[in-house]
Amino acid sequence: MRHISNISIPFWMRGLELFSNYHLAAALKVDPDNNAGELVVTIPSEAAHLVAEGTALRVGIEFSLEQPQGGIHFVVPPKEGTYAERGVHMFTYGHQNSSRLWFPCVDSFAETCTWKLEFTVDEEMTAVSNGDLIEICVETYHYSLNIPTCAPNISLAVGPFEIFVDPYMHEVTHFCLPNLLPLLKVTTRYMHEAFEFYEETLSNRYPYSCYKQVFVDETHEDFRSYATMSILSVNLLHSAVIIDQVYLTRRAMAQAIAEQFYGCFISMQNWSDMWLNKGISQYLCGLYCKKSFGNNEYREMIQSTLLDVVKYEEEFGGIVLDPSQPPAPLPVGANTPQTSQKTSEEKFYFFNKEPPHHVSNFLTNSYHWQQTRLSKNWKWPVGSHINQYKCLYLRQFFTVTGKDMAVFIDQWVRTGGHAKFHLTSVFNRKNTIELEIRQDATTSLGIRKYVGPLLVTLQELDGTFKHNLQIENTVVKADITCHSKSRRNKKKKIPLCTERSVDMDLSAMDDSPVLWIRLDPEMTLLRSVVIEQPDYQWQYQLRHERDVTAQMEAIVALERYPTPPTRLALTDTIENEQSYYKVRCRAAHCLTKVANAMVANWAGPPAMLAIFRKLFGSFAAPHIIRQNSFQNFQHYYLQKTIPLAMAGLRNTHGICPPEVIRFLLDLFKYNDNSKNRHSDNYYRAALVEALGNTVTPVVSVVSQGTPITAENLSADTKLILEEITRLLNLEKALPCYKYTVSVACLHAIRKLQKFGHLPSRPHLFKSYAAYGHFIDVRLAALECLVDFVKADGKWEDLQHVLDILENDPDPGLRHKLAALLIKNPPFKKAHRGRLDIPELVDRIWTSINCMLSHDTRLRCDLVDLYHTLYVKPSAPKPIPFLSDIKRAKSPTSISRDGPQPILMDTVECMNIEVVASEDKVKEEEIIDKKLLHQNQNRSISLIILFLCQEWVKVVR
Amino acid sequence: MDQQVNMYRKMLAAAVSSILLEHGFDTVEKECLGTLTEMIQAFISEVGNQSKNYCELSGRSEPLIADVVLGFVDMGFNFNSLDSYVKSGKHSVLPTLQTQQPQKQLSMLPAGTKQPLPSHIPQHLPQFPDPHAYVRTPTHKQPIIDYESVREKAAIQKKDIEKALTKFLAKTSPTHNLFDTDESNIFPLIACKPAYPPYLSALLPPGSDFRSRGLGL
Repeated sequence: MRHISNISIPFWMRGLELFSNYHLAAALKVDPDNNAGELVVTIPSEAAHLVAEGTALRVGIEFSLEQPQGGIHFVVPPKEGTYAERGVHMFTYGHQNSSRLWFPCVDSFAETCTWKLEFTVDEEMTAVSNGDLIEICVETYHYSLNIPTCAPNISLAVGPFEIFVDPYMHEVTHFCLPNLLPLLKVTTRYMHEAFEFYEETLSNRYPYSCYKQVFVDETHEDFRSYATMSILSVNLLHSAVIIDQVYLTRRAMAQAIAEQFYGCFISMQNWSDMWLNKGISQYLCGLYCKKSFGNNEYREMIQSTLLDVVKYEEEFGGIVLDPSQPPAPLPVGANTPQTSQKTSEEKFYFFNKEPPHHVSNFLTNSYHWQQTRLSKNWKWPVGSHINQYKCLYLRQFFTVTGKDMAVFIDQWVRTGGHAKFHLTSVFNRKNTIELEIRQDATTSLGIRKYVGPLLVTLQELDGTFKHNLQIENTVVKADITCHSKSRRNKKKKIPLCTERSVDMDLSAMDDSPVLWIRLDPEMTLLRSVVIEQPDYQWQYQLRHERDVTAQMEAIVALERYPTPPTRLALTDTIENEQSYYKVRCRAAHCLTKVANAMVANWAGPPAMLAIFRKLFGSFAAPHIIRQNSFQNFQHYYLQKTIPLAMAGLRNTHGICPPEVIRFLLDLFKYNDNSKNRHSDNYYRAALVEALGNTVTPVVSVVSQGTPITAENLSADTKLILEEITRLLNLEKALPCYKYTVSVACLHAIRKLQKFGHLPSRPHLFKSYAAYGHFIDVRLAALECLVDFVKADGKWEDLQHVLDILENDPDPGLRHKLAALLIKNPPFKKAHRGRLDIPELVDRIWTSINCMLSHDTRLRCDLVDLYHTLYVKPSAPKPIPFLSDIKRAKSPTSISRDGPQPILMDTVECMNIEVVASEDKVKEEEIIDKKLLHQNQNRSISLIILFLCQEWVKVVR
Repeated sequence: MDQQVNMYRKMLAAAVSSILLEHGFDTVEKECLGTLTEMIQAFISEVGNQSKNYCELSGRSEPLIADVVLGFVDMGFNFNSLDSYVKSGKHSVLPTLQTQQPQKQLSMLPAGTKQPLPSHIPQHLPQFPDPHAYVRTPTHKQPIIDYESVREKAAIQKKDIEKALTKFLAKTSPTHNLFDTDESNIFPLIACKPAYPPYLSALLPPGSDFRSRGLGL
């Protein structure tokens, strides 16, 4: 074992492969949906006649659970006082179906029954559980849930809660930990709107008789919905002076409520149906967000989600939402290799980290959704069996709309990957524009060929014109005759697609009457788009196209054109009060890059300095910032963003210009929040972050190896450090909301260490990472620690991190720490890193195999980590061969030593991440396009997007 | 004026005393000395007056020695015996007069430059007293109230307070050091200590409640 040679590296890879098989086998053995389980009840012979007669046989299970490792989490702050004073509480948690961890049950979403629940608790405690509270007699809470519900949707929370009945909806009750009642009232002020919105949208009443929100500490995830109640993180609470958190919290609460409808009331039959519930609930929540936060916010969210999904798929392979069936066999030849195989592989995935498959599910959902919503014929499926599964959906859908969705589902739900279009255009003198749309990279990871209609929008001088193109091949050419004649000299207003007309300065144009081109502007497809058009067209698009997604695309594209007109367009966008604030912020960051690229001939003060002074400088003395007043929401975000963007500026020497540092220090100096109704904690955190971003690698005068002391710091660094230490120290006496400033300070200190201004030491981060600090601070410290381990860490430092990963009391933190490690691994695989030692591999392997039966999510995280560290990406091998080999193997149990050496030369290494992409369909047929109408596509793709987002979130 | 009289009298008294010593007196009562001094003063003054009168009588403005001799004669004093008296004995020499130092007090009191009298007031009237006696002087500086300096001051004050507070806390509690050497801990970081429950101070930071109360929540 000591000697890890080249041969033994594949050995470990095989380890993961083998692990996945055994893991799958183990999972199937206890899968209630497969008629497998853990509890065998032998019917005594005396009762055998009852079975014979067919009468009911009641089985009672008495059990006690002591010191549970998972399933139930107890939060017990180690301090003096009674339970109530200390805020001691407990709640159930788990990844998907984990109820069997705390009571014996058929832990399947498919098995429903009604429930009667009784909880006896301490006098000062409140027990919150599913259903209606029937009575409280002598410290015993009786709950009854009459709607059939599956075991995974049963939950419990006990604690000295403060109780707040929603003033708008009396059936809703909120619970929070002691002393937090004021925050609870503020946080839940608008929650009833979500209920009203959903009921209105669905034209149906909320199915349950009550709803309870419990805010507890140390949650597994931010929120989790159970039947009639949801358990949310206490960290979602905020006071009225906080701005940023409001949006996150309202979204989380709205999502939890949406899952009451889809997920709790209507649950799923099979894991492969999960995408339906996830998709519909996220789509609903998205609609609510659209209503309360606005269309721009919504479109931007869709776009960023789409980008996330595209990025994920290109890195790890296509996401298949429903792996239960392969896409319908293709008429031509076709590979029908892996039906059963795929299912099981997916199953493995499911248990591991369920998200990937559910990505494509969105399609069906939205389709169905759209139709039902329009026709209003939809009723809640009533009956003893409320599980709604795909067949039902499809049947319903078919009944309502008369359309068959099979093709649609095959294309988007059962197949992973996205389309990638590359558009070029040439204007010829015959007043036509020749478009060429290519799909070149169809063989790359996560990308597949798309066949079907595609919308192209041309903005011409005379207005916006839509063209529906049929994509049938990898290369599609279309000649489109322009509606307008080129007439640059005529002054005329130009109509936009919003039916408004604007004046434009057309001097930059050449002969073409086309101002800009957009592909699939409504984001109906899961696609990535590369459009090539000259920079002035991008500038027009940024200035005049009113769709925020178009503006975002233009900003991204303009990074490649660092010219004075680009600079002007970006500056105008930042200053434009009509623009959406995220566009303005994004433009600021883009301007940083443009300015850096133009550094040689940049004239005048640093970019954005003038804008900032104009917007935020005081009237009498522009160099002094006004007293904070975050009344204008857009300005608040700009005020946070512009310093950050400016901090990224570099002069010809590659360092941050001194005037920018002085500007930032002045912002600290003159920051005055005394007259503000809102807290400036996020703003100050942004300033600290900006200060950290100005730091560039140290130019060493002294020779390497001499210790870094406070005396030989540069003057600027001293100023920066002084500011950071002062703010960090001040947080001890005057903390701010969620310690945002401390978090930013820790990151800045790590940055100073990383760039050689400070000695790189882990002690500070270790102490901040200890249990008992606020979770955000701990996570920031851990992030720094992980970064330190990667750069300079020794084995004991890594051990310290792993100790936290394995033993920390907070399950949510363990998961997030694992994500940090995966994102920033201690060494690169196959680089013979300092920390690449057998002990590490042993430790991870042991954890995966022996330690984490109660926490599947963390196990998956560790598998991911293992994969990141040790598994080489290689071309995926067709699975059937492997499976054959494996079948031949004797079922040795997995020991901590890993697989037996016999397997060494028989099995090729495999990348599990790649396995998912196996589902890529390599040959596709032209699909009947008439089926796919744009509208339907649209809402469907939205749901897909949400699903994908969910997946990406879980993975990241 | 008194000062001068006193000076002359002092000198006269010294002269009388030395004459008395010449004549064999060892002590003298204060009253006697006073009387003798008064007498010699009166005598000298009278001689001076007479001399002046004679001088003016002859149409001059300054007396000559002849006028003085006539003055002595009028007083019935034999001027010639004076000559022999001077030459006769060895008289003790009185110490030369010290030039009186101008009084220190005078220089301490004046503050500022005195105002010249305005033209409508005759110049012989007394001068104005020192300006501080009648000019109203503000006892504090007028605050500068332009926006820029107010903000500047508020910023500096706030920073100083925060600095002082953090410095104090850093001195009175355990700290982290960002550097390896102990002696140069000029950027001490206050050590963090866990607080239970950790979410309470993070979600309800002290000082946040009064602000929200102002918002009517």
